[in-house]
Amino acid sequence: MQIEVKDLSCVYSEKTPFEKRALTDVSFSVEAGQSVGIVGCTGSGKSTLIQHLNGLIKLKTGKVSVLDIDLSAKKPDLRALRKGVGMLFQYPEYQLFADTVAADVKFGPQNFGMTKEEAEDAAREAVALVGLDYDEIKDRSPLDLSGGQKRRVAIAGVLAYRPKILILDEPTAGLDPAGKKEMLHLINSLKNRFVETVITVSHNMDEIAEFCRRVLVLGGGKLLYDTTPEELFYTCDVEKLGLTLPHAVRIVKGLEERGISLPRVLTEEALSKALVDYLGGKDHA
Amino acid sequence: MENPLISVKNASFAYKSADETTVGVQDLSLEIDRGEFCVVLGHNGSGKSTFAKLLNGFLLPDEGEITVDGINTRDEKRTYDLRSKVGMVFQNPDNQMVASIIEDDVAFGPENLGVPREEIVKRVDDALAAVGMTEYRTRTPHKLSGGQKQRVAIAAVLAMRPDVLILDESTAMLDPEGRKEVLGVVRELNEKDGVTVILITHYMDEAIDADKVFIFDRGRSVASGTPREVFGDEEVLRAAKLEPPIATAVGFALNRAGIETPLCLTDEELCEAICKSK
Repeated sequence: MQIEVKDLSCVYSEKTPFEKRALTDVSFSVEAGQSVGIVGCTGSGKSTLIQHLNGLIKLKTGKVSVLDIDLSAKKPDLRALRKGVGMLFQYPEYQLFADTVAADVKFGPQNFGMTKEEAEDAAREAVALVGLDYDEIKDRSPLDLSGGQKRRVAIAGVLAYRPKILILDEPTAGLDPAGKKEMLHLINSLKNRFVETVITVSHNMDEIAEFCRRVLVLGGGKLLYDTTPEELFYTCDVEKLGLTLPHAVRIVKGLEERGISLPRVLTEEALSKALVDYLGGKDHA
Repeated sequence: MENPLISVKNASFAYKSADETTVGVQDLSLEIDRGEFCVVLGHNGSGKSTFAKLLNGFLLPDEGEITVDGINTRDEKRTYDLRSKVGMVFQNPDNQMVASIIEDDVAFGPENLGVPREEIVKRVDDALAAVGMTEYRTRTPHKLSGGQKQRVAIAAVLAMRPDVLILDESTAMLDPEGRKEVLGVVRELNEKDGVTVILITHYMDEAIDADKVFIFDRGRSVASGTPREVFGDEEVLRAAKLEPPIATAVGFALNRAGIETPLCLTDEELCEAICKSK
């Protein structure tokens, strides 16, 4: 198992009037190669959970082991952990800080011990991976780039130190539709050939439905469901949890109420196909 | 007929730096009537935000004329009038809070306009009530959710009693719950108080209930009309790099497959249309 979380609990400002329980007895594990979505309404504990996965929050209760590094040990190797788990926070473009794109992307790998030359190669590769031209962009200030480009550079800065696990918090928030699509395809392509495991936190259920095979649902700090998007959206009462249904699911359910039953599709494309089959079939009958 | 509240005639604006010129808007012409709920759709760089900044005189057009309620935006003597008529809410809720207490933040605008104190108190009351944030008035904005912060930002603009409320991608950073909150408040202001709204967004589904929709691409308005008039043309939408609502897109796909389907904007409409065509 690449990630093992057992009975994880977390309380903020413990033993003060501001005490707040963020996570309660969360347990799950993730194998290498999976693509996992984490959903839940604001305040459900998503951010607290992912911050435990690369040691940004000190583990107090429960067990967390990531890439065979046991975080409940006395002195876990946090350096190795953080190299192995690349984390992109919301609006990662705000974290760009260097004068040039090259310096920004090379910062991570150099900190993790690569030589200048190695870091240069890693940066070149990472920038190419996110679909930008390294030679064209390397000497420019990250602040002069467009929003979508900035976010790509921020991702390149994480990819450059070659993490095995990539954790993304709302990777498409604030992008325009074209930027969103590109970002999702980028993440998907990375998973298949560069990082082993991708964990995505998102509010956009259409994206979760389309891109994740497995979804963890948090509510009030507890892990409520660990299932497939199909099971979640078709059999669980997700609206009660403050989540929305993907549009394709809403349409299938709306048709069901009207006596038309379609397969349990999750995406626009699959829905179109199912409807063509259904309506086309009627015409020929 | 009454003159339109906002009139943009052949306006052009370009951002110029030493070695680069970037088009903001180009030969843009449009009109918006008082009380209308308008949505401006377009991808990044399509000129939406430039348009917004031209309306309250942040930017002045290189060519063409823009008037709001009879005030030409070039008329320097009336810039303050113009700014109090055209209120703007931006994308990032954290960037537009000026005070550490919510009611002070809302009072900041009218204070600057020189409104008498008693009147300010009343305006702050009204504005916070209009966005449903009265109970938070003595708290600090930092502990609010994104949606609540944007509602406070809207209240701060309302306290200046604007004729036009412009929301420049004000929902882009919010979660679905926050988006719903903000859109609900804006819609109510439009319906109840007759505030003219210009909602700038790249979510097409926020435009479904609008009176008028403009689609921007490369600094021009390439299509305008009711949502139904505008959303029917798949090619225009794709060319402007917009994503139609899923119900609309599925309708397009069915038509392409030879199954005649009327234009559907909502999931509900699509369900009905499919029921009828079986």
